[in-house]
Formats: sequence, C-alpha cells, structure tokens
Amino acid sequence: MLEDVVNASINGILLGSVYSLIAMGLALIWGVMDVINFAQGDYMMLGAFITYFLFIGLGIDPLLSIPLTFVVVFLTGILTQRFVIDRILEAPLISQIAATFSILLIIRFGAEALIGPYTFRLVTGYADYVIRLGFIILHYTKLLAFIISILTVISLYIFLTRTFLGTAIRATSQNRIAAQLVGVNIGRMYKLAFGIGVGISAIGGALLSTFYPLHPEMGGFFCLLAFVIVVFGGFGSIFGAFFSGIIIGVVQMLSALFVPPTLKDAIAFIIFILVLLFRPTGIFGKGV
Amino acid sequence: MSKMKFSVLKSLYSPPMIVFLSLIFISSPILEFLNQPFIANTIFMCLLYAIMAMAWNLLAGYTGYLSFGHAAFFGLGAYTTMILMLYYDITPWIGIWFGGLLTALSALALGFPLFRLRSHWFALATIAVAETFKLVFIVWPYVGAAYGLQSPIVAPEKSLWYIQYAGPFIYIYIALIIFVIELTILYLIITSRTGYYLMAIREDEDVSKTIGINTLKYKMFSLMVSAFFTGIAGGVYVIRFRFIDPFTVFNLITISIYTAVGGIIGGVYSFIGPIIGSFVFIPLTEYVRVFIVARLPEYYGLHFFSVGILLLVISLLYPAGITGYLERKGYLKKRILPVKVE
Amino acid sequence: MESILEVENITKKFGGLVALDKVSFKVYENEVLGLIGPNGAGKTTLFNVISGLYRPDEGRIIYLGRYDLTKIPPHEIPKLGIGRTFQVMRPLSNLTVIENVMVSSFLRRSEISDVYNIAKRILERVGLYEKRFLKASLLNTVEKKRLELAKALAIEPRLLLLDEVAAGLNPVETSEFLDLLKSINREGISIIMVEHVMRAVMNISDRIVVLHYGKKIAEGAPQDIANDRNVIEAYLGGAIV
Repeated sequence: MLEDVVNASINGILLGSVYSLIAMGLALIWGVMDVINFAQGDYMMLGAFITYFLFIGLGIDPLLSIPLTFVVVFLTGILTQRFVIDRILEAPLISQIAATFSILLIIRFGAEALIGPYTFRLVTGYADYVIRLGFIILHYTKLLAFIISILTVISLYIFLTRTFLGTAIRATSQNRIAAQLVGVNIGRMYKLAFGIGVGISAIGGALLSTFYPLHPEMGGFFCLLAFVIVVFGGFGSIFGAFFSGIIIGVVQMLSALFVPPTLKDAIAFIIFILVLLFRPTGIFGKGV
Repeated sequence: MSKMKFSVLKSLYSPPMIVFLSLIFISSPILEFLNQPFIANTIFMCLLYAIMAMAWNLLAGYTGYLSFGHAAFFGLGAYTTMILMLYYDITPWIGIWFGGLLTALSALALGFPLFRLRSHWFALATIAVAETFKLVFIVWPYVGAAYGLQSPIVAPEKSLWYIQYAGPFIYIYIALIIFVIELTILYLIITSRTGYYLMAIREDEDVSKTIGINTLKYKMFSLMVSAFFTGIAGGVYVIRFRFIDPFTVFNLITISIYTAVGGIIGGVYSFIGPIIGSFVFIPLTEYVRVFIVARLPEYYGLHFFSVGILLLVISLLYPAGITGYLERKGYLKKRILPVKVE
Repeated sequence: MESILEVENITKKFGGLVALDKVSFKVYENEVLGLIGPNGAGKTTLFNVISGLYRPDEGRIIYLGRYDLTKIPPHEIPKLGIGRTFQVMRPLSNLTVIENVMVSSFLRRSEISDVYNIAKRILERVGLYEKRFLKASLLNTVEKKRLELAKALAIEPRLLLLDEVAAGLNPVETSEFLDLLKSINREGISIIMVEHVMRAVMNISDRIVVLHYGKKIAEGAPQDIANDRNVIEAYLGGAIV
C-alpha cells in the first residue's frame, strides 16, 4: 500500500510538471492580456503531433525536436495573436470567448480532419525502460519529461526576470499604461506573450507524446486540467501555476488509487469548483 | 391586464413570424411526400438548437451571464425523460415536463454557488459543472453508465404514447409545439418588469441594487427558466433519437458550445437572434457532416471545423451577430418598446 | 424638525486604511445637506455605506427613526425611499434613456404603460424628453447627469443622495442643475449632496458637514463653515495666518 502511494506520488510529480507547462502558458496569456485562451490544449496537441510526425517521418527523437516544435507553435501563436486575439482585446467578453472557442474548433477539428480521428502512439526505443530504486518504479520517458519541464520552467524564469524582453512582458502584465509610457511596445509584448504561452504548451505536448497516446481531440481534457491548475494556483501567478500543477498531478495520481479511473478527473473538477467558490484568488495568486 | 398581454403577443406573432412558423409546419408533410429525410431532420435540429439557444440567451444576452455548461441541463432533462419512459413507462408527453422541472430545481441548487462568480469565472465554473455531471453519469450504473440508455422499438399501437414514428417528419411537429410555447413564455418575460430588471443586471449589477432590484432573485429566475427549457430540449432529443449516453448529451462542443454559437451568430442582443443563428449554422454543419464526413470518414471533424470558421468570422467582423448587422443596415428595425403606449 | 436620517458613529476600514472614523450627523426632513471635504475624505464611501453597498465596521444609520440601514439588504433600501446617483455616471448603456428611467420606476409599478408614462414625465422634468429614445451611452456629460437624477427620481424617493452632480459642468449648466435640485427639494425631497464645487454647495445647502480623512471636522450653516478654521486648514493643508 505504502509503495503504491509513494509511486503514485512520484508519478504525480513527474506528470504534474508536464501539465504545468500547459497551465503556465495559460497563466502567462491571462496575466498579460486578460484573455482566457480556451484553445490552449489544442496548441499542446499541435506540439504533440508535430513531434510525432517528425519522429515518424524523419526519425528525430522527440526530445531533440523540442526546440523546433516550440518555434513552430510559437510562430503559430504570434499569427493567431496578430489576426485574431488582437482584434478582440477590447471587445466584450462574449466576443472574446467566442473567438477563442472558434480557434479551438478550427485547430482541433482542422487537425482531426487532416490527420484522421485516430489514436497514435509514439514509441521510442527507450519507451519501456524503467529505473527501479527499491520499490520505486520510474519510467525513463516520464523522468526525462520531468527534467525537460524543469529546464523549461527555469528558462522561462530566467527569461522573465533577467532579460529585457521578459521584464517588459512582466511590466505589461502589471500595468499596461505605465509600460507604454516607458516605451514598451505593447502590441509586440502581446504577441510575444501569446507565442510563448502556446509554445510552452506545445513543449508539454511534445513531452506527453513520449508516454501518452495522441489523438487530435486530446486538447480538451488537458485544457480543462490546465484551468483547474491555474485557478488553484492563482490566475496571475505563472510560477504558482507550476507548483499547483505538481500538486494537482499528485492529487490525480493518488485519487486514482481510491476511486474508479474516470472519477479521478471529477476530483480535479470538484477541487476547481471549490477553489472558485471559496478562494478565487487561488493558493498563490493575484486577485480575481 | 390580459388585453395588454394579448397585444404584446401580437407584436411577437407578426406576419414574418407567422409565415416562418407556417413554413416549418407545412414542411413536414411536404418533405415526407418528397422523401427528403435529411432536410426534415435538419429542420428538426434547427428547431431543437433554436429552443436551446433561446433558453441560453435569456441568461446570456439578457442577464449577461455567459454559460458554457448548458449541456448539464440538457443532459439532465434527457436522462429524466428517458428514465421515466424506460423504467416507469411514463409517456414522454408528460415526461419531458418533469425533465424540465427537475432541471430547473437543479439550477436552483447550482445557482447559489455559481452566482457568487461573475464573468470568466462563471463561464469556467459552468464548464466544470457540465463536465462533472458527465463524469458522474459515466460511472453511475442506474443510468446505464458509459453505455447509456436505449429505448426499444414499440408496437405500432403504442406509437402515440411513446411518440415513436419512422423518420424525422412527425418530430418536427413536436419540436415546433415546444418552440412556440417557449417563444411565448420568453417573450412575455422579456416584455415585463422582469425582462427590464434582467437587462439592468446585465448592464450594471451594482447600480441595479441601488434601484431596488433583488439581483440574486432575478438571476436565479433567469437561470431556472433557461435550465427548464434546455431540459425540455433534452427530452425532445430523447423522443426523437431514443438513445442517449453521457458523451452525447453532456457534450461540451455539440451541446454547450453549439447552443452558445446559435445565439452568438444570430446576435445575443436581439430576441430572435438565437433563432436566426441556429437556422444558419445547423444546416451548414449538418450538410458537412452528412454529405462530406459520412462519405469520407477520414475527414471526420470537418463539420466542427466549419462551425469554427463561421464563429470566427462572426466574432471578429460582426460581433452583434446577424441581427446586429441587419439592424445597422436598416433591414431590421430595433424595437424600442414591445407595445404602443403613446 | 424631524430627522430623516441619523448617521451614528459610522466606522469603515479597508484593511489598514480607516476610510470613515466614527462619523455622526443628522439630516433633517426637507433640508439640503452638503457633504464636503478634500479628496479621499470618505464622502463616496459614506454614500456607499448609506445605500448599503458597503457594510460599516461600526455604527448605525437610522432612517425615519426606525430603520437601521446597515442591517438591510442593498436592494431593499430604494424601496424605503432612498435614491442615489453615482459620481462616475453609470447609465445602463445599451438601454435607451427612457428605458433607463423605466427600470427604476418598476420599483413602484409593474405595468409597462404606467411606468412608461411616469418615465416620460420625469424626463420632461429633467429636460431629457427629446432624447428619450437615444441609447444612454450616447448622451453627453450634462445629459448623463440629468439621466442619473431621473433614475433616482423614478423610485419616488424621500431622500436623495447626490454624488458630485456639479462636477464637469460649466457655470451655466451648474446653475440650471441647481435650480432643478431646488425645485425637487421644494417638493419635499430631502437631499444629501457630496460636492467639490464650493459655489454650488454653498448656494444650495441649508447646512454643511465637512469630512477630512474620514472624520467629521465641522458641521453647520454655510457661512459658518466658510469661516471655520479647521475647514480652511483641511483644504489648504496648513495653518493660515
């Protein structure tokens, strides 16, 4: 029993770190632009499938193709921002939600129409490797995914806090007008933030592809999970989203030990509703 | 008093509306005669989504609360109707009203926690509620769990009791009856004090309180009526298709989002907007689904994709929807007041 | 004279900030009471407490000698006959001018035709009749202020809380507005006016209460207030020779 709990917790941490990437992207976009990107999960799906096709077609290892995947989805994000998001930034809520939902439909089902409604599995040579430490079982793929997630988060942290562009983005998210007054090009910040936000999500997708089955409609579930994570961690806090992702991952894996598998997702939603009701600022976050 | 109501209804049942309803009415026998089940089914679906979109819009366009979890109400109504029919032999003629009632009561319970939230958070919470319902129904054996529930074919003499007929043609009448009832009730609500109070809440909730509006009471009312008719729509779905499962009736995209799409495309600031929106996008998606995707299943998803494109165009270029565009161009006059009171 | 409103020891804190500190005063029936003070003195906060949008940390507000407004839900307060306008004008933007007034008027009547006629009369009173079918967001500043007033009048109030009605108006507009307020007051409606424009408030008020940093520092007739040392110091921020 104890072994199951420990293994579940460890798995939860590994998985949670990947979920957090999607959530952090969501939090970044929300924080900078006040827009909730309902299509966040679908950019993740794009990342997963780009990785898949690079692997199947060109034999490139999924972890090595991450930089390329990131760049492709990053550019897609910039285009989305330029042609869609930018136009609805000042629009009433209903137009914003309608626009991001339409992107969801277009990406998710456009991909499905192109690729087909099938489930794909990316099986690398090392897919079955496990590392055993006593009773602890670590899947090689998940461990690598965890390491790369951490690296991504650290890079993001360095970018946001140590570079000029990153600081400009943070300034924009805190006070748009003040940022403009000191010469920040707001439009460029928005594009950058959106691009990075969906780009990190795509990295999450790339990592997931190594151990999780892929399907064009997979974005839905992970998007909801990302919402749970962000609300739990506080909408304004990007790095809060990281820790809360780990927590949610662990909660998910632990609850799978006690309840039927489908209900483990319900636990996440119940947490979600409870947080919305009782602590809408989230565990770490800025205000509602 | 009822003379006033009567004259109010006269403005709803204007010549264009009468023509519209009559066309639908006669389409059923004509299409049956011409053997066009696809068109008939599409009309049925348009009506069904119009019923849902109108109900949704009471909460969204008039009260200002955007829900993307109306599938919760649809599914609840559907399951209620199905269970009453399947386990207790209760005719859906009665069953759908129980479905609506149960759904409205659930809305009452859900409203208290939900209305602590506004704006984005309200929308997210409604999505979470619908997803939770879906997950619960997937594991709940009494409702058939993930397998869903199917009502069997009955002997011809029981057709009326179970409302079972071959083809989609009769069902157009069922949907039309519900549609007309809903239109009438919603219009009476909108043109009364309640309607104005809901719009005030939409415009500014704090100011509404300072002019004496009990905002929670009216928001609840709006949610409950909205849920009621959405639940009835679920019952109508059961009558027509005789099979439901959690993935279908609690579906985020085909129920929750499509309902909202009907309203948004038609225009949420107009009474008939959701009707127009539903009658525009449903034929599009049905056409793609039946004529392209069914023939070329590897292109599955194209029908959703086409809705996405339509929604994108509307939300970027015509945020007030089709009715907003028509009003700006002068084809549709914006009614200032529902009645002549000079 | 009867007091229509008694503010007793109202204290309101926001975290560490004390917005209102044991504020007490009375408002008499049919009078116009001016409420003045430098920016941040707590005037709008006080209005929000009176109209029920905020709950005070301490104190009571007794209306008509028998209702404690601090214990009544905000939407019940207009029913008792207390109307207010907002400093930042908040019309119901997407509704027409007349619909804005009709919504308020539904408090007392439920038939659309009654409410419509009442709204028309009120709009005539405040001079907005010609614009009645215009979308409220399209009005200019003066017109929006008149609309705010019309909405407050539509609930048939005994007491009006007016928050900075003269701000942004030129002297002519101010003067016209004041005449309108005087005629409303003559009909028996008591008024509490928060105001920055000294000319306006001195002109129309029977008595004045002065707030500074959340405390009441003076109360009395306009001429007395104008000469009160504490008041002058508060506004000018220092001792006067």
